[in-house]
Amino acid sequence: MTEPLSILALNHYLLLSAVLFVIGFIGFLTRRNLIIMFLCTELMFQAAAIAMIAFGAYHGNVQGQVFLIFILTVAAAEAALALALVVMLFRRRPSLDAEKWSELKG
Amino acid sequence: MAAPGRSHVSCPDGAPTMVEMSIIYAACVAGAIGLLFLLPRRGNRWWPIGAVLGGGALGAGLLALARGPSAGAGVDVFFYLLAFLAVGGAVRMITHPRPVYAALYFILVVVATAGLFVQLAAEFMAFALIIVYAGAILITYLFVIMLAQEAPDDRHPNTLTEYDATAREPVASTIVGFVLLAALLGMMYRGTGAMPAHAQAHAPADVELAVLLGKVESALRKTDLMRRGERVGSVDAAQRTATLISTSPESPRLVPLPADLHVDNVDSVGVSLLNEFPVSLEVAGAILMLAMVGAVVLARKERLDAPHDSQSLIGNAPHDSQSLIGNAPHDSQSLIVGVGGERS
Repeated sequence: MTEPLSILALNHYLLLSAVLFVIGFIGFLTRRNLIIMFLCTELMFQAAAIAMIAFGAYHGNVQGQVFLIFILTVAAAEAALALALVVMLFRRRPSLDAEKWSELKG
Repeated sequence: MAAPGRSHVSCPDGAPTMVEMSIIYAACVAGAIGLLFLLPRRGNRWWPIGAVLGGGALGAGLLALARGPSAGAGVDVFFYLLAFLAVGGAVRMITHPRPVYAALYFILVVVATAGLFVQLAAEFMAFALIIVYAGAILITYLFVIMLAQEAPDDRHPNTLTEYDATAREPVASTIVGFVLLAALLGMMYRGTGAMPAHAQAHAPADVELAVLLGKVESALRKTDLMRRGERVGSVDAAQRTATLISTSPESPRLVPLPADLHVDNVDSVGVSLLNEFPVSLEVAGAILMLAMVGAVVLARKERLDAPHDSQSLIGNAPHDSQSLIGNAPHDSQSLIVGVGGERS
């Protein structure tokens, strides 16, 4: 492995991670298409992945990468289930608008 | 985000100054206003203002990072290029009204992230990310987008649906998001400023060679150090020697490791995965299996003409195979015997 990251380089990556996370967060709040909302959660996953790999490089071990493998697994499972749910909802009411399902709130 | 005016002497450990923090918050405000203009709405004529403001905030932030005191942080120009691609792709992804283009821009973000992983010497995760995300998950997304897209009007198939063309509460969401970003950045700089320069001593190089006997053996076989009938008994990674054992009287024999034998990223990830987290690996496999079954169950279409339970299916089966047997030509005797045997 290469040299561990310096704290300034770590700050670079954490900054990028925070920016990507917030962009995904804003996208999740503003978009009304169900599929785009799930895409925005994937964007937030990416941000978390960058932070994890950067911290792993800062500490000089590979446990961040191993943890990311598990996160990737869960993300793949989540994407499969979420898209199946979207397909199911679309069959029941042929629209991807999240507002159409607003009566689901309590 | 390092301000150009930051002095080296006052904060050698990365803690921000007042100037630096105000630049961070100013960039947050500019980015928020820019993103607000960029979010989709009907007849959006203000998007150039948003593009200029958002791009300016992003460019100023990256330039401050690149030209400031943290320029010698061990981050080269590819970081800034990839960061620009990632953030630009992410912004375009949440502002593009058409879902397919949003998914394609997300692939751009994934590829840029994979490039950053290569910068961080995490090659395995970079390629896993491209294969799993850009290759598998995003293709599934594209399929679902194309399957579940409603055409708003048959005569004008290119018009956007209402929910794609307008954002939901853009002002409140943007304000909340960028307040969160400002808080995150402020806390981040204060927190990492208090951290030690390196959290722990770097582990000695190639320590995983002690468990990678197969890799050592194949590397030794390429040289002349290993004789026929010998195998690697143990490896001393610190001394860079291997003990070879065989049935010959001079066993065990100590040989030096080849100088170009090193543990690469895939080796260390694999050793850590299988030695430290074997149970998690099994659980991950079980999760994937359950997700596959769950997705099939959820997305299955109920067929009206299908038999309602498996009982009736079984009840019909002998009849069907009977007719099949009746229609079968005589030379397929063995098939008839096989079907009859299964029935009994």
